[in-house]
Amino acid sequence: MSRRVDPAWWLVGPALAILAVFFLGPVLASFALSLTDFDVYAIADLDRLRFVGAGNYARSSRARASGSPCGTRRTSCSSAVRCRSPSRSGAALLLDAARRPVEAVLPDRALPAVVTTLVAVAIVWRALYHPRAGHARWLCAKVGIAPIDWLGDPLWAMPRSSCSPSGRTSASTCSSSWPGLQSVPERLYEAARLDGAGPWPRFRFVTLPVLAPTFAFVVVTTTIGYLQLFAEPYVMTQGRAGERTLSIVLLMYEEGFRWWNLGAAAAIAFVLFAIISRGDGLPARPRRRARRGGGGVSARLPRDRSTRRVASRGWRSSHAALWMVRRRSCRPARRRRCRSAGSRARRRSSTTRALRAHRPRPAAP
Amino acid sequence: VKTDARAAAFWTQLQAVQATPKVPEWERIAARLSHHLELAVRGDVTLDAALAALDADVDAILEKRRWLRAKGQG
Repeated sequence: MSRRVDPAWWLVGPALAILAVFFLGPVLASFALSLTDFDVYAIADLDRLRFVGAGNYARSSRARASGSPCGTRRTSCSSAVRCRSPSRSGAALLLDAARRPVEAVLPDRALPAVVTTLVAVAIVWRALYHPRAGHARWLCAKVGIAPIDWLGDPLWAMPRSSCSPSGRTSASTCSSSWPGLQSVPERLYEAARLDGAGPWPRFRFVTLPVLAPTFAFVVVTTTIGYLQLFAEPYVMTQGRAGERTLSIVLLMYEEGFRWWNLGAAAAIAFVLFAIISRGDGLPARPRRRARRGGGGVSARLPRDRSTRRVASRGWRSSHAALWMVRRRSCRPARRRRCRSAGSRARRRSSTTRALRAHRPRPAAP
Repeated sequence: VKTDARAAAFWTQLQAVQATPKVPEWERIAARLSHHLELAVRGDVTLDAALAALDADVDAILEKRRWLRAKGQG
């Protein structure tokens, strides 16, 4: 009586084996490493290895509490995300408003910034911010500001080294907002126009709700990207300027590959993983919306379950709502009845409500 | 060279040089030294506070070496 092995195991078996050997194994090994004080002495002789348990983690959390590297990173990260993602998505919106064909805009504007090597970009920025010969100093002299040591002064170094790589992030944010914009169906705008909605209501109640999931995605990816910032501070300041520019990954690199405290470096890696998986640095609002699985329309009408169910389906909900508006606008008598039935009117999505407010009132019968 | 004021400054400095300690941790200690010195020069912390912080850092860096010496392997 031999039990037959499910053939699916034969199919996924090789992939699982590779995952176990090259992913799961190293992860477990580095976790074990993070519980020891593996360093340059232990490389020479394993007798010199000590088990320190959570000592590495306690040390990194103390460093975080005292605010030296990680605390400043966190604030700068969230501020960078706050100022960056809306402006870049706004750039995408502008591009969309201009309605230029995507083939004409993306390659010559956004794409070079996406594919250019980070290091090359950072070197150019370092040259621009050079305290004696940089363009930044020349510009400051033009407007009469005393020269600032952009990359050396602890006050300025962090904003400079975290916001200067904007070329890359802005382009990627822009290019990930772009498909979201493209997926807003023309029918919605057409329906809104037919109902008399101007440009601003069209943007506010059609474009924004439909794009809410895209924004949530952009905010999450940008935050993770900034938490993992490495190349820019490494090239521009090497974490100097009073350690204000020491990002978490750069700290990990220094611990691991400069001072060979591999145990501590592994602990930092796991702390970073915990921060990201908890969604720590994220601004609160997008996180709440992202968790609700929709945002926009659904976030504003949390109690009514039917609306939420429809609204979380993205553009289809708005489309359905607009479709209802259109039908009812053709039949004013029925619309009055709807309005009197308060509960049903409340069940309409906010798109309906907004459009109703902006629509010219029908003549009295 | 003997009468040159700039070269004399180097000569004065050379009277005070000492060899750095021959321990693997020295490079890291030097990095901490320059970090705390930078803070003190900028005026973010007082010299005494910088020295105390440096002392604590170096103490933590050398902790493993003390353990090795106690074990008799240093």
